[in-house]
Amino acid sequence: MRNPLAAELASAAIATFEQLAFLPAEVLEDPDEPDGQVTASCRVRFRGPASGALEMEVAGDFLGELAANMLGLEGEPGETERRDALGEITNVICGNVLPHLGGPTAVFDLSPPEVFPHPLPPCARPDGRLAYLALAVGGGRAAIRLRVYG
Amino acid sequence: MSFVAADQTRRQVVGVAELKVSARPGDLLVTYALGSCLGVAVWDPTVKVGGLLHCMLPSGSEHEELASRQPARFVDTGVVALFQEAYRLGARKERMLVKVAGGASVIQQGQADSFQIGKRNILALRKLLWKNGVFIHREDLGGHWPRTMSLDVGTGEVRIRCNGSEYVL
Amino acid sequence: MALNVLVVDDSSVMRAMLIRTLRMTGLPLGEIHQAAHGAEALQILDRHWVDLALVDINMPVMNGEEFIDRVRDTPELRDLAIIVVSTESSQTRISKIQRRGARFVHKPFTPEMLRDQVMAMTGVSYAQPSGSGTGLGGHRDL
Repeated sequence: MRNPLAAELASAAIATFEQLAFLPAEVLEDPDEPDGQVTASCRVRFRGPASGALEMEVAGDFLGELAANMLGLEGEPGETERRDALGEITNVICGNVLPHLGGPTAVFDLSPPEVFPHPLPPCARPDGRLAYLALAVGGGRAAIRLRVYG
Repeated sequence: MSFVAADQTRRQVVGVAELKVSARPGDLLVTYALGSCLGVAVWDPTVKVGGLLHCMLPSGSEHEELASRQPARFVDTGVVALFQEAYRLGARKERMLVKVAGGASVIQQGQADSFQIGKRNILALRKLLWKNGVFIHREDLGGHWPRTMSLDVGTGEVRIRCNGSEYVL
Repeated sequence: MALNVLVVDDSSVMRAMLIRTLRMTGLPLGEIHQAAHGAEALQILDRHWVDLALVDINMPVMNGEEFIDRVRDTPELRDLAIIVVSTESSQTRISKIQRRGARFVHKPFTPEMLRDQVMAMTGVSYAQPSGSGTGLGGHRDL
């Protein structure tokens, strides 16, 4: 992975999926943008020395397993739990990658995760992509983008 | 069932895809060559019952026949069998100390560890224990070196030998 | 004596994970209160006795940093045991939190990492293992 920030993003995302949800995750070497199969998405905005958003779009049906694993449940979690699980995972990845953007002492404020049951609505400033990666997670895949504005 | 009942000798070797439990204070359960495999030791300090498992792969769910014949081969079925056997000797879940070792990323001839079996074994174990409300008391996981693991049934002491050094877990 | 606990996080899944880990420790737990942000947590503290609070940092309405400041500046609350459980990675902010007498657990965490901080904060040694099976319900493998 040539982009050092993408490598840090991958490291944060893999650790988050594995430690909080016990789901093995690995970087896909051919990171095509997901197409119409996106089943849910999430955006966490941040403000600080740099402003932007961490975005995740997921394809395939693994949100149920994600939420069930986090909660320690055997049964099928509800829609609320699935959305909340995706939001929390995105939030944790965002918090862990920001020191690599602003340095270890930089202070960022994160907004609550915005979760959608469809692909992400267009971003007001779509030009700010800084790092992108695709992960195979459980039985699905996740595309993660770090956007920085200005 | 594939596990072997402990006999009269003090040192009991637990083979690959095996488990053993014991309630005899003189017994030392030992397993060798834990690479990507996991060694799981359980010990109940009240009744001094201990057990050791050497499992190879994360889940038996797609190998039902093999998993029922040899549950210790898989993390999910093996850990359940280990606890059940320890219960039969008087151990209780709420007193059980769980110590784990292994799950290494064993890279051969410079090839990438593309299947990441060690990591998947660790995740399967953590998920099973989390769902069942059991903490890992001590762990020595990951890395690139094979380990030998032993459990002293009388004291609960777990020792690891790895890459030329030996230590208490 | 049972510990009354307050869990403050805007994620309901995270609150459930934290409460599950607390139950696994085998600590004698009394009332368990939940709040989605700092302001809601302060309302709970106004009405209930709480011994230990687990607090996130980034939350809407009132974040964890402001919540801790308010608690430490209120004489009846200032000795509340607080563990911050957050994705916060800024050394500046973490140092400030620690100077205000709170422990810190970084997300993502393993259940054991949180257990160790809870045990250290409550002064309970981990001589006995998990209180597993204490009302966790649901899963019956082990």
